[in-house]
Formats: sequence, C-alpha cells, structure tokens
Amino acid sequence: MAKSFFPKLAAQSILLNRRFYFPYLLTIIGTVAGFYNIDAIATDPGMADMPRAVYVMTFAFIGVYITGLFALLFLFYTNSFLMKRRTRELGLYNILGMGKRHIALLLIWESVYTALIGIGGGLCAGILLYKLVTLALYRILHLDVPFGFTIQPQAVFTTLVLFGVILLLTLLHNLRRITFANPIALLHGENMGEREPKTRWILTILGIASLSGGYAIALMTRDSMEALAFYFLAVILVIIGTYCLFTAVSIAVLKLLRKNKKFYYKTTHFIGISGMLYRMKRNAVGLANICILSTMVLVMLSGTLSLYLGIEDVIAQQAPSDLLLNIYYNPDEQSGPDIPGFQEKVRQRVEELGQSVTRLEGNYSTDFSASGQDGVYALDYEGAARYSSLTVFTFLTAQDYAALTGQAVPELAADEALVYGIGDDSLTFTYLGETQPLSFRVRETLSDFPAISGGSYGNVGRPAMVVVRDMDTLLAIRQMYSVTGSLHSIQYEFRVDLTGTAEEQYQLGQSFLDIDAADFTGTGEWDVLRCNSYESIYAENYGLAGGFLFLGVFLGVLFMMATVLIIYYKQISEGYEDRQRFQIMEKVGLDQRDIRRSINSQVLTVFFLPLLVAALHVAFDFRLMLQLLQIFSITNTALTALCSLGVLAVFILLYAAVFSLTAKIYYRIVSRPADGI
Amino acid sequence: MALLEVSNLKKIYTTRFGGQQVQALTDVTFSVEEGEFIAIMGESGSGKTTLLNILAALDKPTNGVVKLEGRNLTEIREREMAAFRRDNLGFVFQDFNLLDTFSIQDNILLPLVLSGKSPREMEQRLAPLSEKLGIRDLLKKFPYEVSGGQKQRTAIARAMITNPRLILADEPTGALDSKATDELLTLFAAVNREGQTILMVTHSVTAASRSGRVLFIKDGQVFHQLYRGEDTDRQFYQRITDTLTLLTTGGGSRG
Repeated sequence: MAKSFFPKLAAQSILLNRRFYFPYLLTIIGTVAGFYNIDAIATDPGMADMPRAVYVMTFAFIGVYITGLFALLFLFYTNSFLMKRRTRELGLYNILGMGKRHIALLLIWESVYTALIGIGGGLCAGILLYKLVTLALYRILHLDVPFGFTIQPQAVFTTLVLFGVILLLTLLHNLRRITFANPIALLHGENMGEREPKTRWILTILGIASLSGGYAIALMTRDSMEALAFYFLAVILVIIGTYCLFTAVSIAVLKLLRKNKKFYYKTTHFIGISGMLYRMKRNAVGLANICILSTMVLVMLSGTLSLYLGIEDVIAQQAPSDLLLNIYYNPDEQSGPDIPGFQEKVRQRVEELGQSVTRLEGNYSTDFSASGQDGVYALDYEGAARYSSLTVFTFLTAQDYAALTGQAVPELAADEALVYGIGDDSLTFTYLGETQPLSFRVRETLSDFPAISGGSYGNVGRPAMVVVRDMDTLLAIRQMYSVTGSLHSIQYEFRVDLTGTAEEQYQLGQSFLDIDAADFTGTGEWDVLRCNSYESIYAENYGLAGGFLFLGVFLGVLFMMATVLIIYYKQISEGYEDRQRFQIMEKVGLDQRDIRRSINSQVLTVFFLPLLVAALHVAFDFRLMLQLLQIFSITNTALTALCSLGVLAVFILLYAAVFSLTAKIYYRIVSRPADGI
Repeated sequence: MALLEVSNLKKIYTTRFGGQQVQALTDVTFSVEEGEFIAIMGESGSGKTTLLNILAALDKPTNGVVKLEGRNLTEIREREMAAFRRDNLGFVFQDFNLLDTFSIQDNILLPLVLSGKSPREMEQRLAPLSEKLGIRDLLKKFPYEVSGGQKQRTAIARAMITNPRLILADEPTGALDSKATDELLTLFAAVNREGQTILMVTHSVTAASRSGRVLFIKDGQVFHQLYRGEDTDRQFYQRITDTLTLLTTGGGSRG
C-alpha cells in the first residue's frame, strides 16, 4: 500500500465520524486549555510575588491535580464512547481485508491527528485564554491588572507531557481492544442483545438508605465543626445513593408503574416506561454522572460565590478601622496598659511613617463563644453541642459604651446588661452544670452598635455584644470563664484611622507587625499586642474568597463541559438506538405526532431527572453550606440563598439550552425517513 | 366489490443526487377478493417492495389508484393515515420488527394501545389469538428469549390483533429455517381458511405454493398470474417453478 494511504484514510475517517470525533477533539482542546491555565497560575512567577495571590496559587496547585485526574478519566470515557460507536466500521475494514496491523496503523494515525489538533489547539487556546483568565483573576482578587502577555514554558511542558501520555494510554487501550476482538464480534458490537434489567432489591434498599443517611447528616449537623467533620461522609453517601437511585431505584419504580395496567397501557406511558426501563440499564450510570457533576457545579459555584459576595460584611466586622491594635493582659498579675501613653506611642509611630491619625478610640472587652437558646448558653462543648450554632459574646463596660456612642453612661445594676445581636430577655452562662451560673437581665436590646471588632477575628459564630456595668463585672465574667480551664485575658482594642493611601496603610500595618515590645516600654503592663490593618484584612479575605471563587468557577466550567459532552453523546447514541424502534412503531401504526410526543416525554424525563435530583441534593446541602460558610464568618443566610438560587437558575437555563440543541440532533437522527417495509 | 383494487399503478423515483429517474412500477393492475391468499413473486428489483410500500400507504404512487373497500388510499389525509393503517392493515416483516423493549405480550398489544383500547378488551382479544398461534406460554418473555419462528408468530399476532381487513407480509419466511417456515405457512393457510385475507411478497416458491394465487412481477408490471385451482401444494409448486423459469429465460409476451 502507498505510504500516504493510512494518513489519508485516518483523516477521512475522522471526517466521516465527525459527529463523534469533533466533540471529542473539542473536549481535548477544552481540557488541555483548562489544564494549561490552572498549571500556569500555580507556577506563575509574577503571581508568586504578590501576597494576596498566595491562596489562589495554593488552590491552583490543588486544582492542577484535580484537573489532571479529571482529564485522564474523562478522556478515557469519551474515547471509549467513540470507539464503541466505531466498532462496526473497524469490523468492516477487517472483513474487507485489512489486517489488524493495518487497523492499528489507522488508529495510530488517527491518534497522531487527534494529538496534533487536540493538544496543539488546546495549548493555543489556553495561552490566549490565559490573559483573559488572569484578567478575571486579578479582578476577583481586587488587584491591579498588570500589562503584558506571558507564555509559561514550564506549564506548556507539563501540559504536553500529561496529555501526550493520556492520549498514548487511550491509543494502547484501543489497540488492545482491536487485538482481542474477532471481526464478527466487531461487526455486531453495537447491537448486542440487551436484556431487560432485573429489579435489584439490595441495591434499591442500599440506595435509599445511603441517600437518607446523607440527607440526615445534612439536616442534623449542629454546628460548623460538625458540618466540616461529616461533610465528606455526607457527600460520599449521597454519591453512592445517587448511583443506586439511578441504577436500581429507578428500575424498581418503573416496574411498579408497569404493573399498573390502567396506567401502563396508554400510548405515551406504554412507550415511555418500556423505553426507559430498557435504556435505564445502560444509561443509569451516565445519568448518575450527569447528576453528580451538576450537583458539584451547583454546590461549588453557589458556595464560593456566597463566600465571595459575603466577604465584604466579614471585612467590615473584622476591620472597623484602618488600623487595629489589640492589647491583651492578665488582670490577676498585670495592671493593664497605660492608655494615654499607648496612644502617644501610636501617634508617634504613625507620624514617623509619614501619615497622621484621624481617629483614635478604644475600649476594654473580654469575649468567649458559647452555644444555647432561650437565653441559656453553655460554655462547655458537651453543653454547646446540644445546640445548632455558636454565638461569640463580646462584653464591654457601660463607660466604654458611652464613650463610643457619645451618650450618657447607662445606669446598670451588676446583673443587668444591654445586648446587641441576640433577642433574649435574659442571659445565663453555664459550665457543665457545676459552677454557679452567671446571669444577666437584659435591660434593653440595642438596634445599633458601634463598629468594634471585639476580637471576633478567627472566631466562629454569630456575634453578640453585651454591655455590662463596669470593669468589676467584666473581671467576674472572665473569672467565670476561667473554670473552663483556660484563663482569658482582658483586652483593649485601639481603632485607628489613617490618612495614607491603601498601599501606604497596608505597609504601615505590616510595619506594626514587626514591632518590638521594647518600642512600647513605659506603656503599662500587658502580655501581647496584636496588630492588623484594614488593608491586610481586606487583602487576606479577598485573597482567600477570591481564591475559592476562582477554583469554584474553574472547576465549575470544567465539570460543566463534561456534563454537556455526556449529554451530547447520550442524545446521539440514543438517537441511533431509538431510530429503528420508532420506525417499527411507525409501520405498526404510530403517527408522527405521537412519535414526537412520546420522544419528547421520554427525552425530557431522562434528561431533566438528573437536574431535578441535583437540585434536591443542593436543597439538602444548603444547611451544611451555611454552617461551613460560618467558618469564614459568613452568616448572611439571605445572600447565600440568593446565590444558590441564582446559580441554580443560570445552570437550568444553560442545561436547557444544551438540551434543546442536542435534542435537535436527536430528532434529526430519529426522524430520518423510514426505509420502507 | 373486490377488497383491494389496484389500477394502473406507476412509480418513478428520482435519485437524490444527479436527478436520474428510476421507474420502479410501470403499470400494475390487479385486485384482491375478500378471503384470498395471494403471493406476489418477482426478482430483486422487480418492484415488489415498492408495490408493497404503496399498498401499505407508506409510499405514494406517481400515478394510479389503490382502493381498499372502495376507499382511495391516496386520498386519506396524513393525520388519519396512521389510524387507518392500524385499523385496516396488518404487517408481517421478514426481520419480524419486534421491539426488544417490550415483552411478547406488549409487542402484540402495541397496535391496541395505540388505538386507546381498554386493558380488558386487550385481554379478551389476546387470549384466543395467542392460543391459536401457539405462543400463549411465551407472553411474558422478551423477543431475545424466543426463537425466530416464535418471533414471527408474535409478529403475526400483532398484525392480527386489530382484526385487519388485509394482512401484508413481506418475505415472512425469509429469516426462518425450513421447519419454522413450514409451521408458519401452515399457520397462514389456517388463518386464511378462517377468512383472513393475506397478501404476501416472497422469493420462496415453497411459500408461494401454499397460497391461492400467485402474481409474477417483472420490470414493474404484472407479468403473469397463476391460480391454484384444484392443485395440490406439490403440483402448484411445479407450475410456479415452470413459470419462474420462463420468466428468467426471457419470455417476452404476457402468458
């Protein structure tokens, strides 16, 4: 045979099978581009210089592994689909006299083209996209966008090697298939008789049990820590449940429906139920895949979006001023900071750095987190675990409160308090039921409170402010808390506003971090000074939330691509399977209108079922997500709900668009005119 | 009045590319009386399948008229066509055309479900028919679980369950072994004796020799026809063979 025969034949056969080959090539291009981008971000030297991008780079590093694994699994999946559709063609070649060696040569040439187009095209797309991706990333992180266009040789190399190896593996897999198959089996590969699926009660029960288990976890976790601990168990249970649901439960339900003669023997139900029963066997796994991928996309996007959009509140809560100085001391041994002396030092230092102070205020406080309801809060974990969420209590004195608000000092008895953030009439704090509980009557529930961070930084829970009579009460509260075994400090928080630009303020904040205790000699007795600036909290939070959002969107897009492709391949392969079936029905006397109607109802059910189940999963996940978000101090339920609904709505639209596009192809295949009798 | 009247049927296909015209049927005229069992023979490309497609209302003739009980098939509107086909015609195909998604029972009931009959009525029709065709014990099985002959009997049951005026069979024995072929033809003959009109297209002389009349088609027209008369199957077989020999060796004139 002429030398150019196989290259030509391979090119032809790719064109001939374009309905299957082009989406496969697109998948490779998409995955390659995605992988290049995530790898380029993980190793971008320009980004490594920016402290705010630390999280993104860490996440991207994780993303590299996820994407690589995903690429391997998904390209194998699409490749095996492609080969299944082609067994007949290859069998025919074999019968027509091409040896297995020749078919192997054909496949090798096809792989060469695939690699050239897929990896080459993917890298080009990836490099072009990288500019766009970094633009979006910098925007997300609230960073200034740098100019220039970079190609990262390291990432190009990794991508080439990884996808070269994956495509080589798929080629070897295909060659192995050809070697062990005989031509007749190849020729009939597509139409092997399929038995009706049996009802598998064990799987059905297992599915219902594990799904209920996953849902039960989602409904019963009591706080963020439990949510975090059990989240992966819940996810695994739901995944197992979903697979069982589609493979076994669906069949059990369909068979029950078939038993009901009145329902079953109606044209649409008759064709629909039997058709779905039949196709459930080979499609159940595909549908479960679609469902799980969709759920992942929805959860990732709504979770990271809620985090990103809610982070503004968190920043406002954690950084009520440009500069925050928290001084901690132990009142049993230390006299506490000398406030005017301290203020003087701060002013001095700010001015040394070329800025000036526009506001300087502060207050004493002590804080702890507790959990409970109806005004009774437990400090111990055993007591706390009975309740759903933690509350972070910050106590301050009436005198400080008056100074902050500019009002007269409220007259409070020793057991009276003003509260903000909770609605209880009284507050009682207990510890293991052992010690004398500490109780306050609530004199007034405040609707407004001055912005103080109250040391809430790093605490998990909704914030509550409690104003008590005086420092003695504050010390009593601290004493009470010491029964838990850890001795709490009293802290004084300075809130300082500055005149510098954002960058100058950030630098100033950083310089306060390196402060030596010696710089503050003569400012009283205290233990620890903690500094933070609005700018660094802002950068930290946006770095973290932006990193999460970026990873969420990136993997979301990747998984969405997978979902779309699985849907596309399913529609096509089902089209070919159903075509003959509908032609027979037409001959037996089913008219075009009925055909269309029954195709519609079947296709709709089969494709929107995964979406429906995914939405259900997301609904149950919502509570868990709220609890997990609390770890990041996000407590805005309304915002999270809005994000979830918004993401769901967009996803449904996209899903419907993809569905209707592929459904058109399906109809075209199915309704090609009958071949006559 | 004849049950089926076919007059001056002409069909010209235009190939999809190049627009070449192919004449599949030139001029076909014949009629079928109620209760007849007719075989249509002819070589590949003689126009048999085109004829059957037109009789089944799956294809429209370029010229000519097909009347079933005096009703012109070409004038039936598209929307009524499926129902008309379902109620008046039964089909038996060479490759059975059973749906592997349905059990034997549901395959047979398919036309009744399409007509919207009640489950009770379905049961009433199914029981005697499946008994008669000897597939009563197979009803719960699936097509891939039964033999070719059993599949074809299922297809016949499906064709007959609507009590059609006419059964159209396209090479019904084409995919069967000789034993199954024999059983099937005996069944056809029995069904025909009970009054069912059957029109069968076939290559097989054995199959044709069991019918009451054989039409030979060549080059798109009815070339010859044979009546069984008082012949036995063997004698009729011999006459059909002779005619076929004449046909292939090129007898020019109508016999």
